[in-house]
Amino acid sequence: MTEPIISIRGVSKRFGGVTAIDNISLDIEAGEIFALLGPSGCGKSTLLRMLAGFEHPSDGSVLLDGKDLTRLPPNRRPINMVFQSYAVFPHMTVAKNVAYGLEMERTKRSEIRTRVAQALEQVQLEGLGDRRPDQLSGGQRQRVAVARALIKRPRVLLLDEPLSALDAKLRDAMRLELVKLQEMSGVTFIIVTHDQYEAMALADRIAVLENGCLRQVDTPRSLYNNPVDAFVADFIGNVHTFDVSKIDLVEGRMRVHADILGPLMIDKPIPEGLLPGVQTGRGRVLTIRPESIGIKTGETYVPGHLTVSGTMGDIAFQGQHSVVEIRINNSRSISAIVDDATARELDGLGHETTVHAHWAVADMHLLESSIN
Amino acid sequence: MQQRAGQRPAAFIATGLPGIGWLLAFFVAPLSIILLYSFGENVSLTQVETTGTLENYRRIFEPEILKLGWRSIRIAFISTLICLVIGFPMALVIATSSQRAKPWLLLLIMLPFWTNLLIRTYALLNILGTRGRLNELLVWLHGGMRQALDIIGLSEAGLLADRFTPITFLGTEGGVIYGIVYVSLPFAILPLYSVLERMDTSLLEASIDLGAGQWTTFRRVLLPLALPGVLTAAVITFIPALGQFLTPDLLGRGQVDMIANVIERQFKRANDWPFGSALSLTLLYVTFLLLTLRAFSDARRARRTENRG
Ligand SMILES: Nc1ncnc2c1ncn2[C@@H]1O[C@H](COP(=O)(O)OP(=O)(O)O)[C@@H](O)[C@H]1O
Ligand SMILES: [Mg+2]
Repeated sequence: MTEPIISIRGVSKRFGGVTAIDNISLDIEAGEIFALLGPSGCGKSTLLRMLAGFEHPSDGSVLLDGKDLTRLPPNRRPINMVFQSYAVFPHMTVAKNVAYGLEMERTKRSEIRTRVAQALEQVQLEGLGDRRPDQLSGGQRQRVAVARALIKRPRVLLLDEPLSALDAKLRDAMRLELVKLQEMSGVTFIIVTHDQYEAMALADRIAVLENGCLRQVDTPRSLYNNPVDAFVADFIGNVHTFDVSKIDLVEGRMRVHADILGPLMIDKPIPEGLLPGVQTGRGRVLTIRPESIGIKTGETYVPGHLTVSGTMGDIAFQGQHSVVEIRINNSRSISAIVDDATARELDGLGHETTVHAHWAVADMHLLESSIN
Repeated sequence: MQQRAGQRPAAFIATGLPGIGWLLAFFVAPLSIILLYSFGENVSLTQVETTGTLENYRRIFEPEILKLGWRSIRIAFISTLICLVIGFPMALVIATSSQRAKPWLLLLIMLPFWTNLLIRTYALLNILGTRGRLNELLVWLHGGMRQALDIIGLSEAGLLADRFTPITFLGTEGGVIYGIVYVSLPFAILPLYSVLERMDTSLLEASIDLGAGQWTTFRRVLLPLALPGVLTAAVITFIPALGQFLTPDLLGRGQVDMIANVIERQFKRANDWPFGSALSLTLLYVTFLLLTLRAFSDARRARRTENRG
């Protein structure tokens, strides 16, 4: 493997009593789109700002191309940032904004002019160089911010929630454009987002953060298929969780007692520290994704599947597919994602009809539940 | 929906009446009298007759008065400049301090406001006198420095005089400017603070992120964006400074008269109300001119932000 472009080594950041980042180590490869994903307040922006140089780690260090960056001020780092608010200078024209970074490098005027024109063309703002920022739409202002940062040909481009301020239509278009810009420029992108779909659609790899701690780093597909704990599983897509009360070992296989599911033989690697004999399953859950759940009206047996019966709840139409709610009992319901044909069939049944949710036991994961 | 005032004249007049009455009684009426006086002549010791003469306005252009006017403008200008240069960093410090510290720092700035101006000015007299506190401080510093030179063996190098000669502040333009800056600084800081407080700090970070240093960021981003506040601070300092009479009177010891001292004298000792009126109105016109310019620059800015596409 090649040397990582950014290496975050044991970095912590404390603000007074608040630990915003807790001992994170992370490598980012050159040329990838890397996403920092986590709920609001988990420390994503703080980590990004430490890469930019606006915050200093309380502990640990940040390396760029193997060299320690920790002491280097932001204006000396070959790293540029697209701010969440875009931070386009309101008193300068679009062209002046884009030229600003080159003027700081004392680039020749003629070169600045050609490179600004190129940069504006790259973000499809050609001809708008003389506009003032208040004459631009939100999406256009963001393009200015991206062009202004990319024109400096940084080693790494940092983007803080780049799509969150845009409306849904524009967000899809801009997402594709960001990927295209990354491919064209070859610059490593680090994107902060709290939107799992955004992270999955954009990133080559995702780091999932919770409460300042790193939970898991992997490709979107691996995160989805092999989450390390229930927090990641629920954050990357959705899961239903069933609290595990007890795990026995029966002839080297696990028998898991969970919530409403009853005892189940689960053929998964036996978690470390689980000794033979009767064990409590405290802090563990069984998970299943709504998209792995099927619904049938009759009680036919499907090999390898387990069946949970309940009554029909609401159906939420979402175009290609629908989300069907099944009430197991008063306090518990699960939802399944079904195709349009099934949804229409179920719609005819009406509320309170008994239906059966079923899924493959093999599709379930035995995970540690998240701490909170 | 509320009806436009113009469509219900009766209601408009009823609600507007106190305001209109106030304006008539305290603004229009006295100003009209002053205006009439400024075209009048003294016919006896206590009587002024409006004769339509322009003599009073002509006298404004006498070299002596022009000199005082020019000095007033110079003192007001320098005071304003000093207020801006001192006030800007102070406002910046307050604007960037923690939410908890802000109200206390602002209170410290505002505190002098609530002390009588006369008392404050007398306190300044005590500080600025030849044997005042400021000179005492300078004597002490001078002594300390001499001792330091003694220790490093440079006392004979003639870098410092043996004895400190007290600096004369009172009765000089410097002393008057000191006093005016002291009085005006809070007025300068507040508009600067309000514009800096609202400033989006990510703009400053963006500038640094793009490779600019602190000074370039100040010059190319912070200052241009703070310009409306700087203009307000300048106008709000300059106008009262131009009309100062207590500070030049007390700290200037009658040797640094400004235009307002001349006006005051016309209404008192000189008993030349017509000339005093003409001078007052001229000062008022200058003030209006400045405020108009300020309003124009605001309107231009507003038009620019209205052009959102
Ligand atoms: N300058 C600061 N001073 C004090 N606390 C801060 C500061 N910046 C961030 N924090 C705290 O650190 C935590 C993480 O914040 P942030 O990195 O902005 O989260 P995110 O971007 O993931 O929403 C929050 O609890 C926040 O209140
Ligand atoms: Mg954030």
